Amino acid sequence: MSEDLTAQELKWVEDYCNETITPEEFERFEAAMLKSPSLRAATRQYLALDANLRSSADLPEELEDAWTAETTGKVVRFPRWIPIAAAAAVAFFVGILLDGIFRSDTNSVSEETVADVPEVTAEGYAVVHGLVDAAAQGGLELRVGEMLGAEVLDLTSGSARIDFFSGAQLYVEAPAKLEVVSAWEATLHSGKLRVKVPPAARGFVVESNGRRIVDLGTEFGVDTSSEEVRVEVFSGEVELEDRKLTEGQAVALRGDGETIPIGSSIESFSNLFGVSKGFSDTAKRAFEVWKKSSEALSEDPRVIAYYPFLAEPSGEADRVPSGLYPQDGELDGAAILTEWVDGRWGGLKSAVEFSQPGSRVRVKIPGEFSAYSFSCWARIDSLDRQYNALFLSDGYEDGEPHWQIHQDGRMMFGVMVDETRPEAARDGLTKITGLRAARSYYTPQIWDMSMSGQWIHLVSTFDPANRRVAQYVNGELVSQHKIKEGYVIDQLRIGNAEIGNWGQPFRKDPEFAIRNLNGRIDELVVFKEAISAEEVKRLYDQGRSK
Amino acid sequence: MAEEDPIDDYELYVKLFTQHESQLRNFARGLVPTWHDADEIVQEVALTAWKKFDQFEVGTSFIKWVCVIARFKALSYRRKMARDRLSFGENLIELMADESIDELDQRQNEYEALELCLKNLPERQRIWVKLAYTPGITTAEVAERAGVKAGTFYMRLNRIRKALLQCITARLKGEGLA
Repeated sequence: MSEDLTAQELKWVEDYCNETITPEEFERFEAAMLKSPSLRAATRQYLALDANLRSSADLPEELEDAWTAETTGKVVRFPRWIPIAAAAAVAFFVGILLDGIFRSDTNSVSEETVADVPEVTAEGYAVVHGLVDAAAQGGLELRVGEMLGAEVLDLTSGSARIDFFSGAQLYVEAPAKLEVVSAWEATLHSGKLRVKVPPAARGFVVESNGRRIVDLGTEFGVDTSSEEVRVEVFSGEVELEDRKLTEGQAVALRGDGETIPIGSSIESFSNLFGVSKGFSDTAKRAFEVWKKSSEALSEDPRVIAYYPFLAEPSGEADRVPSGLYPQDGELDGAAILTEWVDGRWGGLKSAVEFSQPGSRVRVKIPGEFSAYSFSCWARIDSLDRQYNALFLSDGYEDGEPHWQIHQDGRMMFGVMVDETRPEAARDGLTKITGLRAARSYYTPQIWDMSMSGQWIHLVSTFDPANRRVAQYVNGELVSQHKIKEGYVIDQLRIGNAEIGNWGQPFRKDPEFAIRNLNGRIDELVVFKEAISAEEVKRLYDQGRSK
Repeated sequence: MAEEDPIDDYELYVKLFTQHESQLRNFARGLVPTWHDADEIVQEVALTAWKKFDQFEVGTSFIKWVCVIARFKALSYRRKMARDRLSFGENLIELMADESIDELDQRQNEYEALELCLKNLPERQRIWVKLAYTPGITTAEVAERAGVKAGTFYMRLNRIRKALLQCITARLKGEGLA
């Protein structure tokens, strides 16, 4: 029955069963359930399996012994191996002794039997007042009205308004780590914050990077996205250890305790002053411009693969249609554990998200080429892996590309030159992979956490005829490299490859390297030539998100 | 129920309840978000069903009778549940419960097929299942013990469950039961 489900439906059921579903997805899941009897039936079957597995006695006894021995000390509130009938028996005799207990409502019976559970009391220092597209670390649910105690709020996307019980209002924008210390104090570990303090909350303290900012009834911003902490007063007055700041003043708090006056840049906090909803006219116009350029790419004879991720094909969430004309189903990608999400212009167009370790889009691109270029729009949430995949060929055999971003934020483009050649030289560029001579060309650092959630345009070109590798970010050349003697290869291939991860599905070993990109890709183009800087600039201009 | 001899009734009740307990838990699992919630429901049903056992007509289906009780328990449990729990709404609980009652035989067949499918599962995967379904321990702890991240753990578990479902479906098709 589970094979009748779409990938999305199956994921809902799995996540619901695992209790990892997000509130937003749960809402969609429930709406879909109400409409679809077959989804309900499949969900029942899945949950029944979950229940049956739990009651199944078929597992090896010795294993159970080993496991329970290890877990002694854990409180098992209602262990499965105490049959419910035994509990009923206890209740029965208790019932005889305490005549009348069964006459009361069963709720009070369970109250008697679980009297050791401490009473729940409300506690907290702050409450979530509002959320805009907010998600917290690990998909934790964050809900409007939720009480926050002394805890760290790790916001990975969107923005949130947190009202402290002292009266202070904090507006925080992802990515950010905000610690609620008390009703009168918060610590900003990272991210951007706008604080609004009414007279009643004067004395509210924000701590960041070990420095204390005391609010004297005002509105100010704190930004940790550069190395030092930036504090800017929008109105009123704040007090630092060594000085007071008034309206329009801004300082950088350095790690060494120095405080340096800097220019105001209130616009960098603009997202925290109300976020517009819906699609702006600018976004619609930008999307139309992109659509024209996308149509041109579809028919461009130099383009050997094109995935525009325009929208989720209805009922086939696992198919990623090729954007090339004439259409060729052979070039379609297969999406695995990915999610169709909003792209560069919100809901105007889709993108694919690769947040799970197994997320990937598998493609097969035939042919042999004498040069190639890769262009994509990506929105990286964080660089979680040592290597974070953009586009990697499976086998990394001769002439095959590996395009990825190193954990340190450098983009790297590699080509396998000769996998049978022993590689001894090590000059910082050469990667030693046993017998395999490959070469990766690194850009300087092009990404850091301050760019999390932003759409960026990335291009790498490999031009053996001119012995040149060139790489671009947002239309600008960021690095170029000479292809050295011995690393020139002009029989280039792709074959089986993956967008957003690295797969070796033909190996017998089930283990795989995890290189999923924690983020989204909303367009990927492969050209069979090295495109020029002008063309890169044009692709960027025609695809910009605003 | 013969009021002058509650012990005999009690024996009958325990016998019936024990016999159908896993079916009941299975039914409850479809209505509430977690195992723990399903256990709570089963516990409440056990008490209420005993309390009302004099209304049960011997010879009719005991499992259907307790499932009807469980349906009401799930609805009132839902109303008492914290607002931020991701639980089905009352309409959906009712739909799920009503449709489940017609599937009790199918569930029983699946349960029997599962026993065979589990036997054929590779040893490593069986250990995963065992780890995942040990009561009283959280997934995060299990994942840590197994030396993997929670996401990886869920992924493997999802894969195993999918394989088991396919095995169950295939077996039942083979027997002409699905």
